[in-house]
Amino acid sequence: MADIIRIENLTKRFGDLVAVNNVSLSIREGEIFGLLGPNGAGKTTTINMLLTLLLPTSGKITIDGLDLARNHEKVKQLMGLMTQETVVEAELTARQNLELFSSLYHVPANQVQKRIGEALEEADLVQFADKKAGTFSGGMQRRLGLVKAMIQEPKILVLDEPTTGLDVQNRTTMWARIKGLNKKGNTVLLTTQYLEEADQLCDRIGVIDHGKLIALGTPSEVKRIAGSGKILEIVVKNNDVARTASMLKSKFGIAAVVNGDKLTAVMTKNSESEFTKISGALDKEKIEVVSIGMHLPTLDDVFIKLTGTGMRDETGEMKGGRMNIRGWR
Amino acid sequence: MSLLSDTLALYKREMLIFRANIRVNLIRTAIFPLFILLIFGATGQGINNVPVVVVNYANNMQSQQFINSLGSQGIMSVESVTNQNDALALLDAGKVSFVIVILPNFPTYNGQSAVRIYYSNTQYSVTSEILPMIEQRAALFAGPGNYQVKQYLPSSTFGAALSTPVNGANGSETDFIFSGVIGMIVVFSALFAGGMGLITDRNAGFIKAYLVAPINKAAILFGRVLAGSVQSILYITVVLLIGLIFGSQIAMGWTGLFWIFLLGMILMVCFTSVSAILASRLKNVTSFAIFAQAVGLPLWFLAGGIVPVSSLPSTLQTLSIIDPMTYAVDGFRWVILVGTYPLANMITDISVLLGFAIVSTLLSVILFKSTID
Repeated sequence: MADIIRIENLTKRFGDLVAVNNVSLSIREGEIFGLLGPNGAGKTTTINMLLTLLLPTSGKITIDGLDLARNHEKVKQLMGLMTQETVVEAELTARQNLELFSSLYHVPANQVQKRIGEALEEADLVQFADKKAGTFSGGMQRRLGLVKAMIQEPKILVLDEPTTGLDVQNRTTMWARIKGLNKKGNTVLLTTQYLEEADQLCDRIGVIDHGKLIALGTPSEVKRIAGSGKILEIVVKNNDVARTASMLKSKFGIAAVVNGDKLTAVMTKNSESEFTKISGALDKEKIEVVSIGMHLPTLDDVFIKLTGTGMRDETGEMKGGRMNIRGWR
Repeated sequence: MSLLSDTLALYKREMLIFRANIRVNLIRTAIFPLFILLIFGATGQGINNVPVVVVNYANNMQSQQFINSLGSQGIMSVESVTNQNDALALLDAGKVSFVIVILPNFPTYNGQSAVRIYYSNTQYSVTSEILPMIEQRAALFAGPGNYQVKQYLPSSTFGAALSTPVNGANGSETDFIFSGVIGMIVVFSALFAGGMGLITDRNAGFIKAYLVAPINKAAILFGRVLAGSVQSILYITVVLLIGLIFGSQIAMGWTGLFWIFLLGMILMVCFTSVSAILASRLKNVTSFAIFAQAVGLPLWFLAGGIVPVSSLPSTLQTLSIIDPMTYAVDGFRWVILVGTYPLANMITDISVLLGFAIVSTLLSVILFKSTID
């Protein structure tokens, strides 16, 4: 498949801070690509450069064969954006929301009503067309936001954390909608905090941390980074954590990562028999176990391995470029 | 082409939001003039204590009797200064309504009359009522025909706007306050509609959504400015209706409405842009609201909204010159109080306001664009 977005040696500096550091990656036409990283890792800065909201310090972005630096208007027409915060204008009705964006994307006047009709149907909002969007539920607002982003029939759909804050049911239907749009031929670029989401939806993912692309590939390729062994998780009563860790180290040679009352470790040897031995040992040592389990590596584990932090690291914000940006984003 | 259609699209959005909040907007617009007129409107009915300054070069008994008779009824409040230039400077600044110069050898005719009476054209109805009174006294004490009456024209164009009429054909305090309140409502609406909206829209992420669309970035501001000037029609109408309830009249009649709306709309453009400039530097709504209050109210006082500019300390009058609201209030005063709008004032007011509107709009666009990259 041809590359629809090609990013070459992209760098963005804010003063001394390098928000995006020499990133190169390509997104293929028709795929769902997920950009992952802790808050402030550089994914929003990268997306903002793709959306022409920020100018790169150096590097080149080509979208659908067009050099972004010289074709702002044309490229903007090719991309639809849905962000977690900009979903809909609360004071406007669903129809007025769609009309506004039809005008802003210069949809030909004779097609506006037809497209709005289709969009309302697509979003299952026909009977709410003339109700204020502010009265809609979270799920309805996202649906409207999604068809709003599609109003100019863009080739590329950029979804910035499309399901943040949605309940499980709405998230699942959102995923189905995104997959549906992708089946119709749209390339989807999404950022997410939910690794499960990336795992479910994406054809390929890229992981960004400290402005650098640190992993790129299909979810299963990326998961392999965490190693072939299974992941052991033990939760114990808090005052037993240190004792458990030293026991695992001395008896089984396992270096566990301690996080609060939780111990995580990668199992290398024959994991099933080891697991039985470990649970026996815990029992013998009279360590109070809250839960114990073993699972195949998930993207979460990859993440912890690659970045040293979990995905939802609150203080991660400080590391990134966002803090220094004064502007309209 | 694209700028125009994008501006109209965003203008439409602003107006839809405005319409969604129409009740709040109307109530907010009505409360202020209602209270200002209730509190201040009833004071100072009728003409009294008209400031008159006398330069007495004769300094004899007859001249003293003449001066005493001027102040005897309490209609005029008579002060003395020692030379004519100082007296005329007061007239120029609009601080007094009349200057009476009593020449040496009063009341004897010495070839150029014994008394000179100067009046300024900014004191419209005062002139028509008080001047005959002064002439009658002068004739009594100096002899018929032994005096001269001269109209004194303000020396600078800015001076003309500063010495805006205090009294007119409609001489009541209500009319005076009412014409100042129009400026206040327009400016406060502009400050809040423009900048506050920009900040909330930016924080909500709407501005980002517009910037991502293939539109001319300036349209985001122009749409807002256009919506603001259209909304100002409604705001001014509300104030006019309240004025009407309080018994105010527009001395110029229907044509006066044209000038009121024109000046009001340009003023709205000025301050919508000013608030956009503020908004480009301030991040949250709270600090913007504090700032807007801190800017709006002093500007209103400086513009002579409630106390005539000519009564302000002279240091503050310098600030009044650079306050665009001064020029709008000047126009409102002529139209509402006097009923004529002298060409010199009209040209000064409109050109200063237009100039300010253009400069502030361009500046807001430049600042807005610079914060994008």
